[in-house]
Amino acid sequence: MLISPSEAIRSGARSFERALFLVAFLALGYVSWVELDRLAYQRIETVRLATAAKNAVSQGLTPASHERKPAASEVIGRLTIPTAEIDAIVAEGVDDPLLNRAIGHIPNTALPGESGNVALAGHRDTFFRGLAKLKLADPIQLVTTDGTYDYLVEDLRIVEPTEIGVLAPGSSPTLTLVTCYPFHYIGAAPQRYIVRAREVRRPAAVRLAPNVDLDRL
Amino acid sequence: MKRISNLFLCLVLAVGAAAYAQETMNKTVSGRVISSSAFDLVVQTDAGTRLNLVMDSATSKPAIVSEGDQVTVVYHALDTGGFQAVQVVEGTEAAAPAKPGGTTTRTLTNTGTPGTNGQTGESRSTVVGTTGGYQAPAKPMQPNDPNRAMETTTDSTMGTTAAAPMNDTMDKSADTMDTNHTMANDTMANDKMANDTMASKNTMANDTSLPQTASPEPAVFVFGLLALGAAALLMRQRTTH
Repeated sequence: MLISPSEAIRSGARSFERALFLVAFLALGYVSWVELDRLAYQRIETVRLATAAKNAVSQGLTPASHERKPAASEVIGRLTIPTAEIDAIVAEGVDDPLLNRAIGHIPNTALPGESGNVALAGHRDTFFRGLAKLKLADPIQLVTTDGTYDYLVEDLRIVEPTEIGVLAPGSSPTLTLVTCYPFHYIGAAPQRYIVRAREVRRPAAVRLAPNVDLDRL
Repeated sequence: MKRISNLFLCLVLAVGAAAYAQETMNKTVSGRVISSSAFDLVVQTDAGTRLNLVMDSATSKPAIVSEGDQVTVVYHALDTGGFQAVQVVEGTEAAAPAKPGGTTTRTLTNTGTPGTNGQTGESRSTVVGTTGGYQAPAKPMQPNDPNRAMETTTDSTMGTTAAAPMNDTMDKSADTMDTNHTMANDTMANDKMANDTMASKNTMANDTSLPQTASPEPAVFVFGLLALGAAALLMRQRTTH
């Protein structure tokens, strides 16, 4: 049985249309899944962090986080930048699955409360989208179970990815935020946007749990 | 209607091609060779930054690259965080210029108190704003932990992602070198060298570049929307005729 050319074209178009629907379903499904996974992770870890902080306060424990390196993907705290509308969980590591769910602490840089440079990385199209709005002297807050650390933005710059000197520790405790630049770019952006902030108003006994700002958790 | 469908398809292809082109941009840097081997090239750039590059059989380079030579390198970033040398030329100028897309465009935004921008050459950075209290160190970061190199080699977060493609590159390079009899024919020796090189590259990938923080979500989302739009148009066209 012969198929007329017009029928063949119609059949091909129908197959192509189905393939397009399938591609659209998979692509949008993937994005929705990643988005839901991120929301769930943020909710769950926020509750866990708050619980851990409350336990530390009630038991009067001295957190031991400075004596050991955090494990990969271990939650470190919560970063809040009101100006940039950023409020997200910070976890150890910068691998792709983690950066999809949280802001990553760059391994081998200082931890909050230590004297060096605390370096955090985040996706420019998710958690760190708002960094473009950040201006000098804007406040940044990092809440951990050890205490609350306040920073003020003192430097904004665009660098090449090879300029890892921006992660070097300075003379005073600092926080460095790293994200890709330009912000509106599809694919792997060629540069990095660096926000450097210096710590202010460090509590006298940083490692005492009562310094935790529970309202922020 | 047919035209609109075709337009959509063209748009999908154009977006894909543009994304691919952006990821394969080349950059050029000049500096002095610190060390070089069959697979590696370490260059101290004119700006003082140390740049570790991976080379393979596709890399165009002089027959001999010695320590202390002034070279110009055309390279591009790898998805794994390292850098691949495309062309190595002795002297201060590459024979073929880098693609235009490789040049850096800077936009100044959120300008507060203006800072200084004293970087040259590879160490190109733009100060968007500074209070003057911070100057980025020219030297690469010194690790906090003396055992860092060993730890990052086995680091599951970045080391693992860097290992697979580099291994592929090295396998290809090793094969080419075997064929050309430029190295000893001892397979065991080749394997050992490849393992050593891979270990050093895993460390390098962690130490020489800032983390890549681009998520594929926006591109996938746009792609999905375009596919949905094109499918809807096709369906409408089919049902109306």
